[in-house]
Amino acid sequence: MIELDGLTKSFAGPDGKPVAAVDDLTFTVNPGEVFGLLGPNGAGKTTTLRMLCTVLKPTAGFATVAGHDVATDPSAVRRSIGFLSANTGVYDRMTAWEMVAYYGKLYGLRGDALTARLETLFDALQMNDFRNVVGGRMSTGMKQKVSIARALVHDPPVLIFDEPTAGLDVLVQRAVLQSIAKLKAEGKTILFSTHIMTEVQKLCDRVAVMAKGRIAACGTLAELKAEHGQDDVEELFFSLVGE
Amino acid sequence: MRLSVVSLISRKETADLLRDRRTVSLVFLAPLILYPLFGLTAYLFASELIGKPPVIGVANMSDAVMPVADIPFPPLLDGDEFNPDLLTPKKDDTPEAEVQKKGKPPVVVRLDGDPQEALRTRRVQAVLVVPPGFAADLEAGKRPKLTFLSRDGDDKSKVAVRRLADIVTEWEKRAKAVRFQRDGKPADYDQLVKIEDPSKKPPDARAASELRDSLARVFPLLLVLWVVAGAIQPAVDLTAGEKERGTMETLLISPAERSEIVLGKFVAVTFFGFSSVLWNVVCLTGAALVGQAFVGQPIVNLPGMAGCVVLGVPIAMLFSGVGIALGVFARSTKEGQYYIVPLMLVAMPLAFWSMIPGTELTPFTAVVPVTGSMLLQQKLLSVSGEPIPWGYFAPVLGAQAVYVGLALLAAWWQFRREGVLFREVGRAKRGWFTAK
Repeated sequence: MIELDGLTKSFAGPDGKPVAAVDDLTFTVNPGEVFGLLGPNGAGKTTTLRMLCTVLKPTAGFATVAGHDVATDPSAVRRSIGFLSANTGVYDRMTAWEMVAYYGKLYGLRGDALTARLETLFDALQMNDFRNVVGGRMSTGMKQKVSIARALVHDPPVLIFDEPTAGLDVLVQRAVLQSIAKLKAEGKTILFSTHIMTEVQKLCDRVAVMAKGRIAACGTLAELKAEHGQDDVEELFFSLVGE
Repeated sequence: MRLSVVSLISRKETADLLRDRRTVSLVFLAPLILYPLFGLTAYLFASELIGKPPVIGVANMSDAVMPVADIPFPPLLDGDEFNPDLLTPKKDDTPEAEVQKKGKPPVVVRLDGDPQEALRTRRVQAVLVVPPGFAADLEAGKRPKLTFLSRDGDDKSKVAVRRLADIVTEWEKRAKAVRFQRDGKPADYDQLVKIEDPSKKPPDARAASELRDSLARVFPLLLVLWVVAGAIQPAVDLTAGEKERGTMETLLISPAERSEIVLGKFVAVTFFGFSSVLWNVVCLTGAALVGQAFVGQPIVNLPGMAGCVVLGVPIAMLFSGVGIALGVFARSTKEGQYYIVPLMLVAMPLAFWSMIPGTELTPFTAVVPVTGSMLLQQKLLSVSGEPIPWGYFAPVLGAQAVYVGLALLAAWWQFRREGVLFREVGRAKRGWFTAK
């Protein structure tokens, strides 16, 4: 489960005064749920996710991931999450197998348990054809699969995806979305940041629309459509972001 | 901090670096190519000096023929060549002159026209101008003038005129002995005192000694240069490069603590920097041993070399720590490489300071970064007969440990700064520089 309560992050602006990149965010993501975080570029989605991943410290407010406080118990949080973004890179000089194994070891997996987990992931994600290919020679799709395997290697209860399909071709996009759907079926808690409405419609149980660091609206798509009198999801998004 | 995680990160980073052809080429292949190349250049230079005889023109050659006398002056020329007795002077000289003496006898060209013209047209490399009535003036007890001419800025001409000077000096020494003999004085009449210098060595031993002294000064500098080459590039690659490739954020989100990441990368970079030292010591020792075989005198101080290797560890650690601190601050590998320039601007004067004649290992210089280590390395490499300065190991190594600690602290601090880790390129993200 992910819980946010008044989560805020400020940075110094060009004039030195604090500017809230994320302002008073409150929502909850339950196990077995895909929660969509929608918003245009600069809305504060990535900053929110980085706080939940503990690489940024909140300025104010409170957040827990799998029951661990992001501010006071960041190590436990990091052990409980898998993170994937479109910008996630792979090591150019390591093979797919080595890369996923490296992260498995960082998460404490060793020996037969690690090998078994890697075999399972490589089978499930159909990565055996390129398990010995180094990152520098992989296609974009291969790299994204490696990143997914890396995020899942320790079988975390919480998954955080930051625009995971940005810049991918339709085939890879489809594979990524299918993987997320499977993870949802396994009961994982999934926070999914995107600005692609078709993905939201396909995957998300509930969404929060962010604009200028704040939540403009939160609920199921049906609830938001009814509340704002918009049948079209894109129009709904534009109306909320423009408000 | 978990050592298992530090070890895991350092092993991964080391393996990654070993697969980087650029880094491996720079650290391991470059010395293999450069040192033989330097050796070959030196060999070709020496061969050029020894192999080809200098061509010396003599103007008014007939005026240099000595008249018949009861006690005659020694001939400067013997037909169309210099007096062969003068080509093996007794005078000790520089190693370069020793090389010249081993060279072929000069070729003498009789000049009837303008000597400067002969030099300009490169018919000859140097000219000896004998004044009219030279031999007669000498017999009359006068002081006739011999003139040497050469081409400015021409190395071959410089070598030729130096050879000419050696020959003429030797002839003058013998001519002086003849004049003393005619006056009934001993041959060493003008030698007022006898000078005894026990440190004066045979030419070969002196050449070896000079090579050894040069090696003791230059070798530590070469090691510092190679440490910089071996540590900084990997440090930038493992920090700025990782940010650029998008793998840094993933690593930060893993259970590894910042301190473990910094230390893991530090160990890997230090390994590379130190490997660079070790490899260069091996290559240079090999080159010096080859040189030693040619000279026939010991020029390699093997225990000193071993000491240099040991002292290479803290130097590699220092540059690794600084490199990681600078690298993580950079947005990209390119920006990281820019930061190497100021680092070199600080490190090089410290290195050159240790090479200035008169700079000694003192309690002050011992604690100066880079300088202290280099001075201690010089002491270990020298064969002055002084005991090993054991007392200076503690201050040199202690000071280096403090600097390494500070560099690691700076790297760790940089790894904790949100504004540094997530520095974005572009004006729109400027606010991210200083996270509250």
